[in-house]
Amino acid sequence: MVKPLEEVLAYQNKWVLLRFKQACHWYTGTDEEAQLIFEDLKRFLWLYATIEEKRKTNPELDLPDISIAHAMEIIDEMWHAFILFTDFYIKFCDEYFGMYLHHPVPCEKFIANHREKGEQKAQEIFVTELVECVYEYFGEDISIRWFDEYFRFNSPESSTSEHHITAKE
Amino acid sequence: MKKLNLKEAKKQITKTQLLKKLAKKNLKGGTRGGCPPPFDD
Repeated sequence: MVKPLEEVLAYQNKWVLLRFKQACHWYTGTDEEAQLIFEDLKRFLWLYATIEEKRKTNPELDLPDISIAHAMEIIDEMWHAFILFTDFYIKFCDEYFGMYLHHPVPCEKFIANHREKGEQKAQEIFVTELVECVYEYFGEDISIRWFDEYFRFNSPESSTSEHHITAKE
Repeated sequence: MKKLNLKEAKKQITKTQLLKKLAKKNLKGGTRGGCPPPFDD
């Protein structure tokens, strides 16, 4: 059973943060920002587990894929750092979620949509539903951080062509 | 036209508009870091 978000957020692991800062060579944020990214990873994993649990208990529900959107690349990097400590990661998943959370996310809905409607439409549905779900669970500030502000931490290889929009767009 | 970041823009737009803008920005860049393409059977 998935534990309450507050308990998941209380989990700390200095080794994951150290590994993240070593491995993510383009990261220019502060230690406090890295701590916040780790906190957001725990939020993301909690949401992933929560939706998976709902999917298993209510297979008739139409639930979104909880995966990494383009602006959330830095959360994915933190996830990589965590997964490398296999013992910590397996125990964390087991203790807080009662299930192992795979990377990449299986995204069964995206794959079905990809086959039936093509990549562009599948991506559109995935992102739209993910944004709505994150807003519903975590609210406005976290939604803006995940889907807009975190673009600034994307790797140099990643496209970040348009970070700011106009109010009248 | 003056550019605003989303924290400034959100004061002037509805929740529906905000969600639409956030989704639109994340359509770019393909699926890097996101959902994988379907694996071939």
